[in-house]
Amino acid sequence: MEKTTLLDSITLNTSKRIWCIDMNSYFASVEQQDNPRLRGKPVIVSGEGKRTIVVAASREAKKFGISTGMKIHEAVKLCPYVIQVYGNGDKYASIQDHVLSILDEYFSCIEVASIDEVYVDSLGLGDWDRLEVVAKEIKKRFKEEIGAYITCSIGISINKLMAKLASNMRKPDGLTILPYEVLPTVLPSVPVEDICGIGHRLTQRLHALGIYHLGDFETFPVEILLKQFKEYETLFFLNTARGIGSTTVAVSRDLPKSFSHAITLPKDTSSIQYLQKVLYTLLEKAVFRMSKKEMKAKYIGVFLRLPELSYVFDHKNIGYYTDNAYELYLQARIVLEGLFEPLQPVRQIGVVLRDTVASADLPIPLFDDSKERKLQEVMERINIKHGNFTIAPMTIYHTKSLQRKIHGFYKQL
Amino acid sequence: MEINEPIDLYAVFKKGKIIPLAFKWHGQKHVVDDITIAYTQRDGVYMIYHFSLLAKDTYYSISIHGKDNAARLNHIEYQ
Repeated sequence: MEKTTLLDSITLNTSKRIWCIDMNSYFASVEQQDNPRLRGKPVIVSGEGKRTIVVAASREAKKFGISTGMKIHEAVKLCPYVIQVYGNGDKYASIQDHVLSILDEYFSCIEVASIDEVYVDSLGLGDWDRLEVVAKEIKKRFKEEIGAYITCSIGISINKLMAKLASNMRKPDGLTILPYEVLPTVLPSVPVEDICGIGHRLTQRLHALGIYHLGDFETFPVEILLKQFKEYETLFFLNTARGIGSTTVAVSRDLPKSFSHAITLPKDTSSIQYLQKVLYTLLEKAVFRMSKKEMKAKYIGVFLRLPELSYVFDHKNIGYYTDNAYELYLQARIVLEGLFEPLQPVRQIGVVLRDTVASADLPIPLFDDSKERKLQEVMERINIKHGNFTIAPMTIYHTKSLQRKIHGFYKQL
Repeated sequence: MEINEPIDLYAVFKKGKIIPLAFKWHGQKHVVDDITIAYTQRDGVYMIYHFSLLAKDTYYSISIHGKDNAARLNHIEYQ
């Protein structure tokens, strides 16, 4: 009963006007915009190499059941004439910059949730009718200035969760507005799997209890939910059914919360020496991006994916903030050694730097004039001027094949 | 088909943007009918400006490297 009281104490903030702008099949749409020969055809975007997966599928490919994360041979089995395009991260990031530059003209509060999803708070822009006009204008500008094949679905509502739900209601190229007044009639019939945050496993567990739609939560005993699910999950379900969600749009573009990199290895390996080299390569990339933002981190995490597709993960708080790749590598190596089991093949390795802070916010160290620090700074300057990995320690020798190429072109399977 | 050869590029600079109009490759001039996409890529301190173009139904991928302003034809594909 105490939990119900807690829920009742949460009030629904109806004053906000939050947008979710979701680029439709983003990577695949960019490639189809780029090359007209790909338009109207099933296209998958992937990395290079034999063990790559589907990173994005065009709307035509999705009709065959192809989805993100699928192995290439599985996609080919579903659609033998699917066209595989090698992804080009620089291209997608550059187009995203163009999208953001247009949004900057309309909004002061923009949260970049991912490369293909943005939340904005349209404070002071006007009533719901005015927002619809602005949304249509933005969609028109995207088509004229970026490309007609790159479309987005816009959802506008009172919080991020409802805006996300709205953006998912019409795809591709949709515009859905869910004012507070319509939520009580719309939400009860929304399938639970349509809610961002309710994944496949949670959906299965809810279905097993006879909960298929948000409206089913209204009559379902809270006590049973609390027995079956964790408290925060139960709160999330009940809040969502009432249309309650976060209204905080964090301007995250300048200060990312984490920097990570992962790679699927060309073949499974049980060599700790090879994994250490790859680890350093990944850390160099993550630190390079972090340094360009003039940030430092004190949390290092390492994960390994094993052939049966299970993950092992561990992390370490190193106790001080740093942007020194070698210092971070020495700590990450300890984490890796703790995770690694001899003779256990590894399929994928990844690294994440968290607990980040702007370097300017940290006190200046008085006695940090070590040779390693000076060497690191010089190496960073060289790499910033001449490109990543222009200069690198011998530690990562033999991992050059894992580094990204400048261009990405496609191949017909 | 990957080409990777230098070209002469004719372009206008408008509102801070480069707009390719035509290019000369192997002595032949190709007039740009449509720019399908334009994006930038960083190479150290320099920018590379990429353009995908259509000229008489042929797809061309060209780039300009900010280091020496040299234009190159990277890729060509007959539609």
